[in-house]
Amino acid sequence: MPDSRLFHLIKKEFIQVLREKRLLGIIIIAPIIQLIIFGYVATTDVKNISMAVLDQDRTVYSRQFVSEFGNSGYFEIKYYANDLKEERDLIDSGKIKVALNIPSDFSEKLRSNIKVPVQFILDGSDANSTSISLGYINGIVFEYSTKELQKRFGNIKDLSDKINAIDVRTRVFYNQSLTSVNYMVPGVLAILLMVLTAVLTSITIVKEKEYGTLEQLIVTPIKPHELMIGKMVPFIVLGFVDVLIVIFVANFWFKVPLQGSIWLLLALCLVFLLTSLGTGLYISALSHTMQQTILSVIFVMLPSILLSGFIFPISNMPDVIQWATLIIPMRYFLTIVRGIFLKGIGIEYLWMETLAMLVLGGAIFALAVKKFRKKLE
Amino acid sequence: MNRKRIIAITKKEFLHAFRDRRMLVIIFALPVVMLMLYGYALTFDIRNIPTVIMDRDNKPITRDIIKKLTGSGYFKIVGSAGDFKDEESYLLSGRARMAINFDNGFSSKVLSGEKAPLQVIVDGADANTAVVSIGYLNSILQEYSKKLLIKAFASSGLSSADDLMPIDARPRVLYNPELRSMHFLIPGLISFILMILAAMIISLTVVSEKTRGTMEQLISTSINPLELMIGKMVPYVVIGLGDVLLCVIVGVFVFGVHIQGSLLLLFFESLLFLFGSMGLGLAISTTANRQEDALLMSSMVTFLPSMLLSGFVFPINSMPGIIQWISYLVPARYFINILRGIFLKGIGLNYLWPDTLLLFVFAAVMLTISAKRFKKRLE
Repeated sequence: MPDSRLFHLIKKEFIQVLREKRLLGIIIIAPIIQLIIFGYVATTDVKNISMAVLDQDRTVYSRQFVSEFGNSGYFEIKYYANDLKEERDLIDSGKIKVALNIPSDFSEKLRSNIKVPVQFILDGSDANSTSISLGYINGIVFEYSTKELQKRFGNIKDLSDKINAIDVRTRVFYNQSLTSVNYMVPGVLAILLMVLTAVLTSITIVKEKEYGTLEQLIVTPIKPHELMIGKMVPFIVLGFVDVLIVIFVANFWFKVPLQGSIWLLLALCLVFLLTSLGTGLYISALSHTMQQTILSVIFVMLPSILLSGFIFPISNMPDVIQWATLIIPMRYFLTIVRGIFLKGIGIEYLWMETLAMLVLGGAIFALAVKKFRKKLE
Repeated sequence: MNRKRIIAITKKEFLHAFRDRRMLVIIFALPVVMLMLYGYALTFDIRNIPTVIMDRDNKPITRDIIKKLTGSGYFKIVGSAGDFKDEESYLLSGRARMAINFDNGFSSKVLSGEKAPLQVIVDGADANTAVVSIGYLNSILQEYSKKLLIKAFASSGLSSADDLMPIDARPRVLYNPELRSMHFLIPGLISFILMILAAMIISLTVVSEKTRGTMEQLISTSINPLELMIGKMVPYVVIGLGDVLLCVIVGVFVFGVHIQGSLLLLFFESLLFLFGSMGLGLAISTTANRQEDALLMSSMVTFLPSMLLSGFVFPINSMPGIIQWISYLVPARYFINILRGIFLKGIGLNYLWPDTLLLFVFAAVMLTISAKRFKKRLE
């Protein structure tokens, strides 16, 4: 084996990859940067909602009501407006997202048990954040209202108990702190593996095409399958190095420990590599120039990132698109990686996804090999 | 500066762009595909949360609550579990995202006025979906509790049962009252598409001339660097503005987005942003010698920041402080802010001048740098 052509070819590829400092930088630094970006930036958590208050009552009652918002941790009271015009100005200029108007008879009505209307004005441009803020507002107001009710009817035992008839006790599984980092970090592992293997294999092969060195390799006794294996092995190895880096950083920096079996995760990464290497090979067989390769890569990467559930949940998509996502291998791989990372589940829950990846990967790989062979022979 | 030479280069660039079919697809199909995707498929609007129920009580009240949940459209009952193990397998396999357990005696507690605990288990892996579904569940149950309360008050002889809740929150949503994500995403998409088009494609085409050696040929002609630069830019200005128009047309006629502000201002700001991104693309092309380097650099400085750090999808307010500071360096942030202002709020330069000024600075700095470097490279 050490003398075989394949061995030497793999050695050549390794030398080529490791010689390029930039490429090496990408392989080691890219996962860390990506983890940091996606871990910290790609958060759909809504907090620090900037708020302005127009308090026309200015009593202990109204201040206490306002402080409920400040203390909730969701809202940040940034301005106290003096009139409606000033408030509108703050919203228009984007300085605040929510405005709270307390009428001048707030405490008076509250004391005399009359319902007080309190107006909230929300900047609805960001629909998702706004509906979450609305939920927070309703929750805080409801809590305050029940407290007031309890004070009012405190002497009537029967009634004050009924105020909260149903006591919801929510328990969160798999991601108790409900932070997006825990969800994004395993996803980065999947995306990274795809970028490394699919993009870099197709780029290095097309580069050899452009330089004409592929022709030179073809005239040697190297067989097409040896050439393909030789091209892929270094990226498989580097891909696994990156997987380990991600697991390490996830565990020690982001405190997202791997709940399930690391061996299962690595084995299923190998299954996923079938699909991503197949894709890379297929692209390189189709492209003649670097520009074509890059454009094709963008075409493949975009659906893999956008339609795989990496950021946007698949269950929110319309049915037709949900069906279309069934042919995206990344979709299954994300379920697998998140399942192993966060839920710690084993193959008994993941066999269907594994099977789907094997089928899709086998198909694209076979297709790519056929196409590649034809080109070479 | 010779107008004829610039026109010749412009013509050549147009030919290049339109000859390559894949390039054409990127230029015209990408905006439409992205708009359709974001318009129909990619949304955080959550519905049909798969829910498993373990109803050990099975009384009219529990059935009533379940009916309320499914009737809301937010929850979809995917099964009923017999025991905890069964329930857990629903959650582990991902068939259900939420489990609701009604204990034996739940309804009798509710009826007798005792506190009735209701256990809810949520799959928190996807934090955003989990937070939103907990919110939906709470508001449905609060509504239900309130009804029970009003009934109880009415039966105890308190007449003003309807006015019970001391505070009546009246939210009013401005700019986007139906809360549709589309209105929010179209401005982001325009900036994203312009960034890709201007910075990425222009740097790739310039670098490809370098690798093919045609740049040398261009240099040996009588053309001067500035003319070459302008000639390279003109086609992409035209194409970029065409893409903005395309986005606006699709947004208005397909998705029913209303443009509240001035269309003219929209195009003016787009032009400003285009100049800046093209300058950036040209600056990249002067440092990169190979296409893969150009791709890498342009995706690092344009693609990723304008997707992630601009507020396009992820709210900047929720990011950690340092990253919020970094986001001030991303021109797309200002551009998106401007576009949202024009699209949704209908505000003009009186509010938008600081962002516009920053875009202007960005364009001026980038064009100067790239012109300087371009000149040096060629001479």
